[in-house]
Amino acid sequence: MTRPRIIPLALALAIPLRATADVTVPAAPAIAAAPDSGVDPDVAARLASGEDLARRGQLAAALDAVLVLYQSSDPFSQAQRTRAAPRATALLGQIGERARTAGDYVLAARAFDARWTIAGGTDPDLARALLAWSEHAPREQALYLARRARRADPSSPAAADRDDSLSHDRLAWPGRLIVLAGLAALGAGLYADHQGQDALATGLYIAAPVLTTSGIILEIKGVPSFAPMSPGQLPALPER
Amino acid sequence: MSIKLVPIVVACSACATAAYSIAIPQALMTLYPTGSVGPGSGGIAPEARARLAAGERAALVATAQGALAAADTHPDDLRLQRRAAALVRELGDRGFEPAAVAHLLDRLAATPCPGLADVAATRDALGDHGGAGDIYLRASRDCGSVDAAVAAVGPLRQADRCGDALAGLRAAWPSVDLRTPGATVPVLDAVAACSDEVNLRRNLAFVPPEIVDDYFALLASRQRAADKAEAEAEEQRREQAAADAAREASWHCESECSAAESSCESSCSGASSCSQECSSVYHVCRSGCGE
Repeated sequence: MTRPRIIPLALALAIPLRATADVTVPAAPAIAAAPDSGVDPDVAARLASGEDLARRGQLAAALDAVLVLYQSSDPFSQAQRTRAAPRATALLGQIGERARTAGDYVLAARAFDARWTIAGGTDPDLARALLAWSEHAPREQALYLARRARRADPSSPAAADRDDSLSHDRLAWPGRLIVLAGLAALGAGLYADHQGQDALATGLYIAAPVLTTSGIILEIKGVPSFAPMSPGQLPALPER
Repeated sequence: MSIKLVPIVVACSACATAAYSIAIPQALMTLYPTGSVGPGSGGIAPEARARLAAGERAALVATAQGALAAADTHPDDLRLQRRAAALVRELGDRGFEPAAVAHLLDRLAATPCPGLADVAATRDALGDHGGAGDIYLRASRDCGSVDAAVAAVGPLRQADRCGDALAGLRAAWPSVDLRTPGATVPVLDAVAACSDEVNLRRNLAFVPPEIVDDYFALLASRQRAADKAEAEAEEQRREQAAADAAREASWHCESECSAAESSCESSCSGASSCSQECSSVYHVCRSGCGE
């Protein structure tokens, strides 16, 4: 398994740090949003439950368990995310790895995607899982997955290739060649006409516009007319 | 078809083909350049948005239930009790066992300072305003908390029990630190919140007269500031309306001048001197429109 390279700054940016706001109560001192050390017992219990579920192969349930802390908008959860991040990202890595081994590239991508959102940095595992998924997705989703893979691992040539091939007119060069063939047919027709080969010239005169028009239609047909769009299962976490 | 026509047909078709094969494709290629999808990560599908929103709600419920369970298993940890109560308040009464919430509030009440304030805030959030006010008043008495007496006013007003709120404020008054600047103001504001113009002075009877006088001066000052802000806002609204009206009138005037010029031009039958006359009339007309 390739572990993501965690960049502390990205970590700080991706996850709201503790301490901004303890929770105020009228006529009482504020409640500390996080305990003095570690995480609250229910948060630790949920992570332990996720680890247990993952060990027993219940990967989707394990993923749901670990994501609660990062989905809940309450100030207590927000304040404990940084402390829980090492354990949570390790568990997400295990879930993603096991899901990928089991051939569930969607679940693998969701787990790695959550890890990437929490940890920041680059995540080649996520890029690979997204590219595997994009092979089976409709074009607009495939492009979203390819571009997300490229963001997760900017050094991945496979992600760049997939992004480029989905982003550009794949029929441009065949279309251009056919248009050129049409122009060549016109030139050949003129030459044949000049040489007195009327039948050949007429055939080429007919072929020229047919080829040119076909090339243009092919080229127009290849122009991508869609925008990248996420599949329903991604992003795994709200992007902060 | 006569054999003599063949060269003409061939020539015409060659010409047409040349035009078709070169000019039209070039134009179309210009119109339809080889396209590519624009940059950007892309959009989030509606089903993904719905999933994220539902996930956030479900996670908040799971967090609150986990916090209740943790508070139950760690009854001596006051922070965990207070945290659970705060999460119950955040969610309202959705999805919680009433007995579990009741046990939590009992445990909080066992540590009255500051637990009672948490209990009161939670009861208020769950809609029991009268009960919340009573518990704030108890916190005020048991903890000597002026803030709790002030906090009782909101829920007791909602329960139509301003008399009890005022009694609580009166009882808490001796605990107010008169040496701290501004310390009296929240209490006096709380009295005012449960009073009207007629009975405010009577409700402040427990306050020393010089403090009451200062408070009325403060109220007058606040009123003047509010009046001034309102007057400034009204003035701004008026100026904006006048500017809008002037702009509208100017556009209307210019439009009329243009129409007059067009009408004038149409009667000129192409005579340049007449057109110049029309143009100058237009400029004179337009200069009178202002802006």
